[in-house]
Parts: sequence; structure tokens; C-alpha cells
Amino acid sequence: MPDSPRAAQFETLLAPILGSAYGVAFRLTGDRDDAQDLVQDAALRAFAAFETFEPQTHFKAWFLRVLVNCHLNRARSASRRPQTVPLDDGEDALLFEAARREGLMARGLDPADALLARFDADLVAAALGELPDDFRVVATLFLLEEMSYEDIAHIVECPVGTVRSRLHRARKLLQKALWELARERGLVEAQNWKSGRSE
Amino acid sequence: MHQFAQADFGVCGEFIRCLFRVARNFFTRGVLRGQKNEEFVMLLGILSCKETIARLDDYLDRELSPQEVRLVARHLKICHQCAKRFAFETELVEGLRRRLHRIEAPADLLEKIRTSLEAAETGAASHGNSNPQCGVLKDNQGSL
Repeated sequence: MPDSPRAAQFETLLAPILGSAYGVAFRLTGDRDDAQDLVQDAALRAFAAFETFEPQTHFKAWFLRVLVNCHLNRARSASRRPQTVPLDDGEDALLFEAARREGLMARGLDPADALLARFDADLVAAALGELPDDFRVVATLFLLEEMSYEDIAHIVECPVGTVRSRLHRARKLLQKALWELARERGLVEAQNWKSGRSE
Repeated sequence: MHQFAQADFGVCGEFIRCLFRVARNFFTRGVLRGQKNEEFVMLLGILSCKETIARLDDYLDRELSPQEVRLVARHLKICHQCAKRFAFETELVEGLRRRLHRIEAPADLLEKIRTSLEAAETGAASHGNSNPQCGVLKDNQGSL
């Protein structure tokens, strides 16, 4: 435990949520070393602004807000051009329709389970990594931390309606990325990539 | 009729007023031509497939009100197609969560953070600054 009472108090609050923070950082950066670096950077920034933390509020949400800000600032300064968001989010219910076309609905199996059996953890992580930063942040907080729109809105500092629409688009983009990666790796039939309209 | 609908009759009065508005919409704006009437939907508990699917994301994100959850559940009981879609998307989210299982933080991470915080405090004290790293660690926008 640190000598300074301020540092000791900060560490007492940080220690129980460090695993969550590192998990989020890893999904945002996609790399263990970068994740560790991000958490350390966020901890220093949070400690510097510890006076602004209100003790009756949620430390985890406050710290994740700092961490997400650090990540977005790093991402913006790392890329010379602003990140583009694809105009085409992919079709609605892409994986549902794919499961239907592959006949998974009729085999008495759980179709989502049967489809997901082809997608391992690496593929899902890679698909999440394909999302533009703003979308990856909300998808990570929703999928990994199971946070509400309101909590996510507090962390990313935008209105709840924006979180709702980002999450909706992130879900579609994630399905599209999953299917494209699965197709590239030969895990699904190439002809089933085309939407139902072509069949 | 209009004055009657405006009168306060508690729940019964609200029901009559809503029926009045639905009837008025029916004749003046064309409910049968597919115009959405939320009041009618909420009052009678009827959701179309389109209205149910429109609530899918909020349902998955557990952001529907209890009343709307009941409306959706009522529709799913009688609509096999929508029920299959909801079950699929729900299981998909759960499956993705299982695959994105939490990565353990390195055992020495807390120790590294402690060292850097102590260094920050020592550095701040030697420069007579009570707020270590302040100004250095804040970003250009001045936010955290």
C-alpha cells in the first residue's frame, strides 16, 4: 500500500476494478502490452484528477470514462486522417438470414449456437477489432461489461440516443465483420455470403 | 362528443378518450393505411411484427419498459417467426459474450501503477505542486 493517504485511497478503489479495466483496454487495443500501457496511462490521468471524483458516485464508471478518453485520444493522434465509418452497415439480421439459408433452423438445433460454433474467440475478437473506434467502445462496454445505455452514455460523454444508435449500428457492423472474416477463413460457404435477394 | 372525451373519468375516461382519438385518426388520417398509432397499441396491447422487430435492439439491451416487455412477449407467444428471430439474436449476444471472456490482468499491473503513482507524487512534491501530473496528463481538450 502506498505511503500517501491520497494514493492509498485511489489504490483501494482501483484494485477491485483493475481486471475489468484491463479487459476493456484489451478489447479496445487488441494487444496485451498496449492494454497494459493504456490502463497505466489512465490510472495516472485519473490520479491527477482524483479531486474531481465524487465519492458517492461509481468509481468504475468514472475510471472507464478516463480510460476510454485516453484510448480515443491516442487513436485520434495515431491516425493522420479521421477514421471513416462505412456507409453500408450490412443488411438487417445478416446472421439470422445466413443461418436460415444454411438450414440451421430446421435441424432441431439452436441455430445461433450452431452458427457460433464456427466462430472461435479469436474470430469474434478480430471482428470487434474491425469496428471503428466509436462503435467498438460502445460494443465493448455493452458486450463485456453488460452496461446500460445510460452508463455507456456517461462514459462516452454523449446522449443516450446516440449510444442507442451507435450500438444498433455496431451490432450490424459486427455481424457483417464476423461473416466476412468467417468467409475469408473458409468457415462458411462463400455462396451464402450473398443476401437472400440473390437466391 | 369532443367535450365528453375531454372529461375526467379516471381510467375508464382515459380509455374512452383514447378510443375517441383512434376513431378520429381512423377517419381523418387513415389508420388502416398503416399509420402507426402508439396510443392504440399500448392500450390494447397489440403489436405488429414490424413494431415488435423495431423493439428488438432495446429488448436485447434490456432497455424496454416492463410494459413494453409484456407487449413484446405477448406478440412472441403468437408469432413463431418473430419468436425465432428474438431467440436467435438473444443467443447470439450471449454467445458473443461467452467468446469475449475476460482476459486476466497481469499480476504485476497494480504494482506498476503503484510505482508510477508514487513517482508522480514525488515529482509533484519536489516541484511544489499538490496536484501531481496536472497539466501534463490532461489532453488538449482539457477533459480527463
